[in-house]
Amino acid sequence: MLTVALRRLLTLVPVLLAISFVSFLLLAIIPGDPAVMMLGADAPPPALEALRERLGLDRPFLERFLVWLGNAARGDLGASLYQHRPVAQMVLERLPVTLMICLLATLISLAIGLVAGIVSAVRRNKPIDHVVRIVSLIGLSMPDFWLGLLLILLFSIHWQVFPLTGFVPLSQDFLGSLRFFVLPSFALGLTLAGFLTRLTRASLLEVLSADYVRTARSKGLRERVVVLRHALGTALLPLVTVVGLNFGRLLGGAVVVESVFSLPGVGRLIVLAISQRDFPVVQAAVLYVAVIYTVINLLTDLSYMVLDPRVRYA
Amino acid sequence: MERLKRFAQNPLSIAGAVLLLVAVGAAVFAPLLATHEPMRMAISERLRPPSAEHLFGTDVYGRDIFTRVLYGARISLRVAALATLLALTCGTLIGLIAGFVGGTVDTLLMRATDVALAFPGLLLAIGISAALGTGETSIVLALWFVYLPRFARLARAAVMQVRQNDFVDAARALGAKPTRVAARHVGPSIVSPLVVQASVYFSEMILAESALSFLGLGTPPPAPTWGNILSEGRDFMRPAPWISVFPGLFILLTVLGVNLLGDGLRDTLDPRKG
Repeated sequence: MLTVALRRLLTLVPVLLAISFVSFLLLAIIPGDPAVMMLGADAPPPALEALRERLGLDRPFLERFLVWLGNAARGDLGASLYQHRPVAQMVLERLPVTLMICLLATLISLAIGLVAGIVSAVRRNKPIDHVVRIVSLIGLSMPDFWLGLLLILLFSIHWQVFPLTGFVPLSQDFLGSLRFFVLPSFALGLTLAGFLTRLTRASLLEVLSADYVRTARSKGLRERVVVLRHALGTALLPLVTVVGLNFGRLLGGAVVVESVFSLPGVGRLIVLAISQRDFPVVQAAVLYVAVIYTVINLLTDLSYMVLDPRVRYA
Repeated sequence: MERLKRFAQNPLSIAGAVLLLVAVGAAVFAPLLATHEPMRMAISERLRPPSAEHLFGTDVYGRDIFTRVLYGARISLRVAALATLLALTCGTLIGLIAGFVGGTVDTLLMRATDVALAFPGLLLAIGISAALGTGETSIVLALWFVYLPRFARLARAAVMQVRQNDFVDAARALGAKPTRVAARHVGPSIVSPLVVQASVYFSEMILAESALSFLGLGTPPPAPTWGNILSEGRDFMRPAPWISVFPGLFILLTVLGVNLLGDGLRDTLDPRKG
């Protein structure tokens, strides 16, 4: 199993290289001269020349990539065009906010999705099942940023339970900071919950029709024991993969939801940087998020290996 | 025919079809249904709540939200439909090539899709459309690029599965040329998984388009899209929540319609999952 895990770890190298290349390409596909794009068409020629040299635009494409890659490997992704700070630092200090939203949203969606999915599967074709199925479909059809606005309308404007503006960093006052995360996490988590509910239901229904479950039932075990002790473990296996894969969906969604709630995360940073045409920041943020996503996918695969003996010995 | 009947007997599929028809109808007949001009400002009418005169109220410039939501359907649905069709055709083509040619070509194509799939989809779309600049074309291109590898992998997987069937071997043994095997024997079998998945991706693209234009990356104002109307209402949640509520409701109902329809299609086209 260790060799399988190590081999899987090795596949990370080409993927990370390729991710870097695509992130690098993002700057390269900007139509026209990046220096003119960044400084404006009426910028003085010497300034344009200086920026071109600073960005290395006068050198061949591959050389530029290798230089950039070498710097990136040492954690140097260049400097912001406006704030004149290392972009890596700017991204890293905002990462905890984004990851916290995604983590809380995952927990919320799991809690709701598992319970609703199990109830729905066990009471198949009963009224409660129909209600759960329709509500979960509405949940996954909902734009998360719109749900965020509705939550603001209800809980910040109408009832004033959660703050509308402001922010306290997690490192400063952890519990006080959590208040600012509740609504954004629910906005993301509720839409994902619809997805997990459907998946749990489908997965559990499939397992419940398996032979070993029929055996358990025919032994005279109570239905509760059959479902919880025999079927559930098997039914939840595919969920591990889905929760891992969905982290990518959450990271993307967090970008938008942070903008709704004005939270100082990576998403907000990307959106601001785009409006300022501060492309090195966009590039660094995209790269970091993609790397995190890749690592999470790897962890998902590895945990699957631990959980499922069929994969372990394959 | 049998399938059509089964599809029509499912009330949820019918509801989905109706919802999607309403959205498409709103887009197509926007000029006929609209009660006002989508771009005309009337400062004296600003921030009016919903009424008989303004069904969904007005925004900060006094523009009629109902009218703008109807016209917004045009851009939002056009972008999502165009991107879905492009990604479906190009992705399927790549998947077919990978699946049939195999070997090095297959490996190279699949590694390329691995790279594209290593990015969270929405984030990659944001990055690409930011690099290409605002506008409808850059969003279509961004979504096309994000979904192309998804369709390619799906098509390849479908080809691989179908190729294992005896009837494909039989056709080949009878002397059918590879192109004929592909077109006559494998092609039809991979259509249904692709159609079902296309409906799922279409609904995701409607959401992605609205998210991108919410962030200001889509069709720039004053042209209305569901996302940018919603975004303009963000600063007026307290005095005029209707600006954001109605376009969001339209997104929700349209996506719900597509998802219901997709569920119905899956049940109809794949009897095993009935």
